[in-house]
Amino acid sequence: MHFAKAAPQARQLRKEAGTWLKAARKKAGLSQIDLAEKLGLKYYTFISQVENGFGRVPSESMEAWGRALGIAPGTFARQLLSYYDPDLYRLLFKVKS
Amino acid sequence: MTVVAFKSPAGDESGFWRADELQLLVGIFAAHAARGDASDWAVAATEAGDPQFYILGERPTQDCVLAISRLGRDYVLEDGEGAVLAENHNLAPIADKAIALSLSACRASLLARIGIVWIALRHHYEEKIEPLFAEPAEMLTHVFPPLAAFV
Repeated sequence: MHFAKAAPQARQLRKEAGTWLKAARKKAGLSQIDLAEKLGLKYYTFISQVENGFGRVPSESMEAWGRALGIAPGTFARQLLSYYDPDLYRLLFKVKS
Repeated sequence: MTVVAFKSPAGDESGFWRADELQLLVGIFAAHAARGDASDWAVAATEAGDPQFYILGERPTQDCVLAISRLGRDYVLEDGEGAVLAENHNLAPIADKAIALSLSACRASLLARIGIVWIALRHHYEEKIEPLFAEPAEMLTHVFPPLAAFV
């Protein structure tokens, strides 16, 4: 069944997104606390939630995340879309009309 | 804004949930699972070693819908988008609050998806489509120089 296959794949891709985000944060020379401060968060626990692959970067704060990590917001959003919704990403950016 | 960071006292059980804490936390999950709005739970830790407990929403995406973290001697309850819902020195009131919450993970997930598509499309338009509109006017003035005055 589609859902049975999709669940582990969605979790795996979210984990990969978290790994990518963690690498981007480290490349930017930021700790989780530093990033939370740049994003105006009271706690750094949400950064951990996303990096551990359990949560997603909310769309309304993607621009701020991208800028805080030194990545163009559009590029950042596009990269996350490839993890969060790979089918849609493929249709939007990979399939030739 | 100053981020609240905690230095755990040496010798405490940072990085791990105690059995009594875990019992309460699994109780929160069980309450939501009984209502059909949670499908699984998981534990992990922050970079600083603070333990976190995640309640995962409905399949297929199983996004985190609630997260409880222990920072030093405090507990923090957050939703799946990082909003702080409760803070307390004791876990029991946090658990009560977490159980009382109505989770709307699907709606949040859908809104996040719409937002991300909008940003990606806007980026694609600016990068690929916009230059195509700019080019014809430029080409026209090269091919028909007399038209340059009208462009």
